[in-house]
Amino acid sequence: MRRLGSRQRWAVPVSAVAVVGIVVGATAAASANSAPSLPARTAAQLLAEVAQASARPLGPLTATVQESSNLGLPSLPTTGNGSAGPLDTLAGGQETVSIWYLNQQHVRIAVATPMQESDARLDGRTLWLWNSKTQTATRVVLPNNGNVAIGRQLRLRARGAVGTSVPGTPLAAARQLLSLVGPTTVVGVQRNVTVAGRPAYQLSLAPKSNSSLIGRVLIAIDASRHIPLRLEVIPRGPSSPAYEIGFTALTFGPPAASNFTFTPPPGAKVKKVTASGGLPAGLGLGALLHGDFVGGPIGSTGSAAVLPSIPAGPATRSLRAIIRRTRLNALPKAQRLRVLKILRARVVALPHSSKSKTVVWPASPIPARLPAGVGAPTVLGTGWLSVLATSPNRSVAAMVQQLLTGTGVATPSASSGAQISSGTTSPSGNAVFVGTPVTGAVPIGPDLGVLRALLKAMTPVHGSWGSGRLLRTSLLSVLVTSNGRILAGAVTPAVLYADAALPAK
Amino acid sequence: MSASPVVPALRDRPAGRQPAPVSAVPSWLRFFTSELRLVFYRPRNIALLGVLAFIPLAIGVLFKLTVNNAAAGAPPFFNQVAGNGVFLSLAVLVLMLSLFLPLAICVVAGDAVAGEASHGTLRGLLTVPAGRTRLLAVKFSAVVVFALAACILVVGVALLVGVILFPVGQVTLLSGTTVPLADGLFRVLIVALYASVGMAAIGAVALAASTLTVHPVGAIAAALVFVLASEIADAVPQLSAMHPFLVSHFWLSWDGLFRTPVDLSGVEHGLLSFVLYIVIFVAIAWARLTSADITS
Repeated sequence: MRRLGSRQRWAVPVSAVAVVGIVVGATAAASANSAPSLPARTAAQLLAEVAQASARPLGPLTATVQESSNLGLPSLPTTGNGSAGPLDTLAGGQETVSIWYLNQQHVRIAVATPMQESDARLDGRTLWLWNSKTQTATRVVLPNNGNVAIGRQLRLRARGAVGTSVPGTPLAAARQLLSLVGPTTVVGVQRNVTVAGRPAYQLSLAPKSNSSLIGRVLIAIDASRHIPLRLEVIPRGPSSPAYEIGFTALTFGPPAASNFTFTPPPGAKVKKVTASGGLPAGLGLGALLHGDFVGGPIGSTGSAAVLPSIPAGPATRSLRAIIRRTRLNALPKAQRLRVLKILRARVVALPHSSKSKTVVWPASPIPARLPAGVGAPTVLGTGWLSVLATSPNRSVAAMVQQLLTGTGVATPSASSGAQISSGTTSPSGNAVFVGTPVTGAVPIGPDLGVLRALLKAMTPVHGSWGSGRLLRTSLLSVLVTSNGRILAGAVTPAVLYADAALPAK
Repeated sequence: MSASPVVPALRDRPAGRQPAPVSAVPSWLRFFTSELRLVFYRPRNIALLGVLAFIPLAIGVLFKLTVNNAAAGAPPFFNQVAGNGVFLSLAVLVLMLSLFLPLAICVVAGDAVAGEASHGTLRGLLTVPAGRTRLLAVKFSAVVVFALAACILVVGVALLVGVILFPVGQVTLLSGTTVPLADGLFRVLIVALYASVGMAAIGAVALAASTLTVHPVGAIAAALVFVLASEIADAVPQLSAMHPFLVSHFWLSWDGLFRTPVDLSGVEHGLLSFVLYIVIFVAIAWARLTSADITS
C-alpha cells in the first residue's frame, strides 16, 4: 500500500464514483428492460383484451399510482396554502396515491405528501376522511342507498373510471385515448416492457396529423391481467413524457382489514356529516388532494359538492386544473350559498354516467369560474385535433382585461357570476383588492393571481379570425380571444385560429 | 486547535503504537479515544453542542407560550406538539436538519485534518507509525460519533422538553392511526439514527475538504457551501432530475416511518445515498491525505 503512487491513490475515489455511476445506470437500465418474453400480440388483440378485462371486476388489490407532468407552463405564483395543488403538479411535479381495495364497501385511498397524508377509508356505511395537516377526522355517514353509490365511485376510482371522464388512474386515462384509435392514428405494439415489476405490452399511438402537439401516446398493458398499467403522453419533439400516470406498485389480493377501519386519534378534531341526499360526488382524488370536500358541508348542500370533471384529453385536463383553482369553500358563506344555488340550477347528469343516478357537475368547472352566461364549453374538431371552446362572452373579455391591466373595468352587472369569478378570498391574507362596480372591493386571491400570471405569460396574437392572447406549452395551446372566447387543445395555434374563425354556436 | 488539549493527546498517541502489532486493537482504541477526547473536550465543540441543545429548549418554550397561535402554515408536526410532546422532537429535528445540525458537523469535520495542519500538529501525528490511513479512519470515526451525539442530543433534549411542557400519550401517525408511546419513541430513535447517518455523509464531505487545505475555516466554508447548494438545488423543481443525487435530498425522507403501513422506501434510498457519499468522499480524503506532502 505504501508503494502506491499518488496517481494510483486518486484512482480509488475516481473508480468509486465510476462504480456508483455504473451501478445506478445499470439499475435504471435493468428496470427499464428486464425483458420478459411475451408472445406477440397485435394492437387489436390487445384492445380486445383490454375491453374484456375492463368489463370484469378487478378484484382486491393494493396499488400505488404515480402521476407526474411537465407541461412547460410559465412559472406561477405559489398558491398560498403551500401544499402542492393540482396546478403545481401539472406545471411540473408529481403526486403519489396509494390505494387499498377489498370490495365496494371497503376501500382506502391515501395521498402521501412529504410529512403529510390525507386518507379516505370506507368501511361499510361509514366513510372516514383524515387530514394529518389539520389533524381533522371527518366521519361521513352514508345513506342506505348511498354506500353502494359511493362504493361504486370509490371502486371506479380505484379502477380508474370515475364517470369515464377523469383520468384518475391508468385505466380511465387509457380508455379515453383508445377511443381515439382510428384512421387518424398510427398504432404500434411493443413487447416486453416492465411496469411496476409486471411484464407488459406497450401500445403506441401517434397522430398522423402534424397539427397535434402530441407526438406519441404510450399505454403499457399488463400481460396477464390486460389492464393498463401506465400512460405516457410524449409531446412532438422531446422524448420525455410531458404527462405520465401509472402504477409504481401493484399487487393483487386482499389488503389487511385494518386499512378500512378508523378510530379518530386522541386530540384530533372530529367532524360528522351526513350525506343525506345525493352522493357527495366531490369525493375523490381531486378532493383528497386538499384533504377536504370541495363545496362545503355535504349535508346542507346535497349533491352540490363538486368534483370538476371535463371531457377527454390530457390537454383539457390541464385546462381544468388551471381553472379549478377556485375553491368554493374559500368563499364567504353567503357567497358560497349563492354559488351553490347557481351550481345546483346547472347540475346535470354527465352523458357518460346517465345510467347511474350519480349527479355531478357537468363538463367542466369553467362555469364555476366564469360568469354565468358562458355556458359549458363545446368540443370543436375530432380526434387528436379536438379543441375545447367556450362561446364569446363579454364578461370573460372584461375579466381578462381587468386581470391584465389590474384596474377595475366595468363588469356587466347582469352577470351574476362576476362576483363568483373574482370573489375568491385568500386565507393567507395576501389578497389584492380591485374595485369593481359590482361588489365594491373584490379581493383577488392567489387563485386569480395564478390566472393573471398565466394571462400575462400569453403572447398577443391576431389574424383574420380576430385578436387575442395565446399560451403555448409543450402539450397545450390556449387562446383567449378579445371577445371573451377561450379555446384550448393539444394542437398547434393554427388549429385554434381556424376554430376561432368558425362562427360560435 | 488550542494547544492545551492537543499536547497531552499527542503524547498519548505514540505510546500505544510502540509495542509489537500484537496490541494493535488496544492501540487503535487508545488512538480513537484520544481523538474523541479531543473532539468532545474542546471548548468550541462543547459550545456547539450547547447551542444544539438550547435550540429545542427555546423552540419548546416559545411554542408553549404561543400554543394558541399554531398557524396553519406551521412546519410539519408542530400542529401535533400541543397534543403530544413527543412530536416536539420530530418538529425540532425537521427544523434543525436544514441548517444547524449540518453546520455543527461541518465545523467539526472541516477542522479535523486542516485544524491539525494549521497548528503544525499534523506533521507530528504522521511521524508516529500510526499510518495515514489509520489516522483518517480515526478522524472519520470521531466525526461519525459526533454526528450521532449531536442528533441524539437534539432529539433527547426535545423529547425531555416535550415531556415536561406538553401532555404525552399514544402517538398519532400521519395516517391517522395511533401506536403506543413506546412504539412511537422507538420510531423517533430510528429517525435520530437515520439523521445521524445523513450528517455523517456531510461529515465525509467536510473531511475531504479538510484534507485539501491547511485552513480549517476554508474547509468548513467549502463544506457548508456544498450543503447549502445542495439544499437550494433540491428546492428547484426544474432540477428534479438531479434531486436523488443531492446530499440533502433524503434528509427528511423518514416520514414513511410514521405512516401505516410503514413505508421504508424513503429510508432505504436515503441510507443508500448517505453510504455512497461516505464511500466517495472518504476515498477522496484518503487519496489526498496519503499522497500529499505534509509540510506543517
